[in-house]
Amino acid sequence: MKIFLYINFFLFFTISCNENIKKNNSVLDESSNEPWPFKIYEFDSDGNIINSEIDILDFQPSRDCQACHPNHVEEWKLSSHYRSTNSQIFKIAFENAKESHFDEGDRFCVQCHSPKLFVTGLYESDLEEGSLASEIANENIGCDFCHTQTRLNFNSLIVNDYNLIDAEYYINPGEGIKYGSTVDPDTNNNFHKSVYNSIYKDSRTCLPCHNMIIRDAPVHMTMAEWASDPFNDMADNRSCQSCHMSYNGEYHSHMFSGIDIDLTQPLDHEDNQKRIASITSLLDSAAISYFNNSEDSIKSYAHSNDTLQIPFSIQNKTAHNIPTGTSELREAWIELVVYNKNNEPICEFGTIESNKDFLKYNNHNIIFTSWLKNGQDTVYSSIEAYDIINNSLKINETFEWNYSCYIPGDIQDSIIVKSRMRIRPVKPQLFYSDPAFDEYFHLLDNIPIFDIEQSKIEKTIYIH
Amino acid sequence: MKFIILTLIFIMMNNCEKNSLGVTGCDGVVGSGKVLDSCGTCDEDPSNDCLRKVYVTNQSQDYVTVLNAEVDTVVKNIKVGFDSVNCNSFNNDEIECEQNGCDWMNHNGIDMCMGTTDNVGNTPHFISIDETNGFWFVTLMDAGYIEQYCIKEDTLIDRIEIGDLPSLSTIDIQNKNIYISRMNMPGMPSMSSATNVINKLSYSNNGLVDELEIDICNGCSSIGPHAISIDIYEHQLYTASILTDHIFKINLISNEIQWQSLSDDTNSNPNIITQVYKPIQSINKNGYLFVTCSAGGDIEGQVQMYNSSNLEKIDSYNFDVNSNPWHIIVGNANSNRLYVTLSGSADGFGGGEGVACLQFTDSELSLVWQNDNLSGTMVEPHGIALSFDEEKLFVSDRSNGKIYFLNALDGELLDEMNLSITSIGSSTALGGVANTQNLW
Repeated sequence: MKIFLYINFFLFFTISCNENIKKNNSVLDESSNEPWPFKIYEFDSDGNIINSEIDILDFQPSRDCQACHPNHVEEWKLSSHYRSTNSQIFKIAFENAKESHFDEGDRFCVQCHSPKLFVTGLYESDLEEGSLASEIANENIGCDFCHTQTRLNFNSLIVNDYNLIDAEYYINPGEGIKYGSTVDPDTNNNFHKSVYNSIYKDSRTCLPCHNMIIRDAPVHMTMAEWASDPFNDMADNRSCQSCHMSYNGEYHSHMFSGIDIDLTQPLDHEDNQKRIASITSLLDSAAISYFNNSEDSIKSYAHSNDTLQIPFSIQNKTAHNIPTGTSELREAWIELVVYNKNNEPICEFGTIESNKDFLKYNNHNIIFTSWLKNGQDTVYSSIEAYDIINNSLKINETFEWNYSCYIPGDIQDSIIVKSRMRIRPVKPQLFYSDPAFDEYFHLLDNIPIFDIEQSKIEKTIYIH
Repeated sequence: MKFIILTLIFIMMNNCEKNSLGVTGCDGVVGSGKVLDSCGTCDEDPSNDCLRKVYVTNQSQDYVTVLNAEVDTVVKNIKVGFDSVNCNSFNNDEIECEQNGCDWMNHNGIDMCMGTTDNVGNTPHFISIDETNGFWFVTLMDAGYIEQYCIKEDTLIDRIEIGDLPSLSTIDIQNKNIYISRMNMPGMPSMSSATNVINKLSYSNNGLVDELEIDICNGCSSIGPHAISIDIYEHQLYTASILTDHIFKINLISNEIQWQSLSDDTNSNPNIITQVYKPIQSINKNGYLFVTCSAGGDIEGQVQMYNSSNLEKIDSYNFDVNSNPWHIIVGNANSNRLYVTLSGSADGFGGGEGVACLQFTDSELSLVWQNDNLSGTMVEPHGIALSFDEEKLFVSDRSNGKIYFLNALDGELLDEMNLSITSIGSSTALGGVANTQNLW
């Protein structure tokens, strides 16, 4: 009897422990006869590493890559992957997460923003300043984290109050092998072995981080947005890499341009200018506008002392929503202005004086964004979110609207209607949401506004 | 005692050898070892014995895998499309550039060879088989080509460029024509040249000939016809727009085109993007048209059934909102059954993955079985084919590189196999599946 109880107790204990330990082995394929090696790490439900085969020094710093891959490294150093823990917005959110959720809050953030710390179980405080380990960790999503990936993870980041940590990576660092998308890599070097792995062309290399559900709230769902279009999902069309790592004829861009720049640098800083040029190019055809909708088209003639109806539509031409990712921080909107013949505005919608002005959220303006909610409160950090109100322009969506503009009696000859879609990576109101931002108001000056080139339209209307 | 045993063994071996040597081969030569296989080939090579073949596109690794349909083993992997090349290396030669699948372009006044084959590959997507004439065809989405192979040897006969993103195909066996739908890619301006057309090619032993492009919606922009099927007896071609949720019927003799909204809206506009039903594939049988609608969001994934003459909707069978119905096949000649893959949720939650069997009468569609306990085993079921005896289903997975073998009578999972070519990559995405009904 005693033995039976002992066995039962042991079994119960074993099963309970196993339920609380996560291991990166859920996609292991027993039938595969050619194992693509990866190193195992196990963590508990708080994200604490119980066991890891990965040492921080298994990863190489980017300066080891610089000599042979200078363009790649230079571009990557302009990317958000490099700055993923260095942005001031992240730092404040990170401190808040640690304060509200302790170590679990730390692990929640680093599982994507500093994955080398995550898979090794290290904390920032474990790293000696100026050490190689610190250099490697602070390079965040660096060369060696991506180019040691051997297998795909098919899962999104799906977390809740009881389990905020869920990231699975299949990486093989420290073995002198770099994996990538080059089919016949040059192996004639003394630095590392190069191995082609077809997964590097696959959009799912961006999982788990670019698809996150927290407490059933789909907060950052870029991959799901992309996959909601069968064209994309069925054959990896419009892959993430095809736009965000575009091929220039020689190599793939490693700037990973999206919408973010470095807010700690002025807009005219050389590095930000490079980012802005890349983002502007990426956004060139992101949306297209028309002065018509399914019910009506804009007229060529109007009357003074009358209200001009301006049918309008805008179509999302990207492979995800606009905005996407941290859409709660971002705003895209339509600016539409009716000018008289002296180029003076008669009616204005979505105009702001400067890049740090708030947009007017009313039923006259078209604004695409989202709000993370914690009860009635709006929050700006995903770890605090229980719900999301998503008012982004959906993938492939054509949004239709009707503007109205009163034409005063003194308007003669003609007027001109101009419109464009604008987008910025950060809502200025974020800086007023937390006293921690008080000393960073100067960063508001560095928020860029991008105009989507193909959304720019204008129409001359003659006045009778 | 030892001596007796050794003697017996020696006698037995000797007898066996004598028996073997004494057999007359199919060539009439004693001991030749040649065997007549079921296709009438007399040789001693078992690797070329006739078999019923299953073709599966290995999309991300640019191969087509051939399986033995009887014993579910891999027979061979066929490299399709162009080898990965650096198009820039053909900057000095326009002909060589295009022969290698690249595009000769003028950029800022400078002629150069550009292309993406070295970075995105060929992406074989869908396979059609013409057993009457002995060919199979594969669409190469990213290369923009279609290739023709002979079934017997699986050797390439011809390839022809038809432009951006060829996707599904259907065959008019009587007239030796193949019709190919093209993907629409909203948001990629460089790929917007042909978003409303179906390509018609003719084929023969000499290869493929580009016949014409059929504009299914003149004046429409970017509506993305994807599904494609044919009623060869009525000379009607059918397609459907993923983006605007319309089905189209094209009379191949009169060129008259008729359309119908999948939403029953009689005032619908086939040029307005709605993307609610998101139709994937259509198929014809006995005067009916069946269309899979992947739908999602608040709309249930479904299979819709139409009268193929007048496009009146007869019935619809709805799965749940996470089901994502994808490819569909019909049962063999006398069957009233349909088999459809359910790709499952695309929103990151998972769930809904499986396979279902429906049956139809002249007035309704009903469920025969649905294997909904495969979530976790399957990730994104995609293509589907049915064995000649209608006993076994072959289902591909576009996420994990696996092919599943299911009992067609009840959907039970019989076996699975990973078709990833592991020397190339740790996993792959499989696409279309097609199989021969006869021995080849």
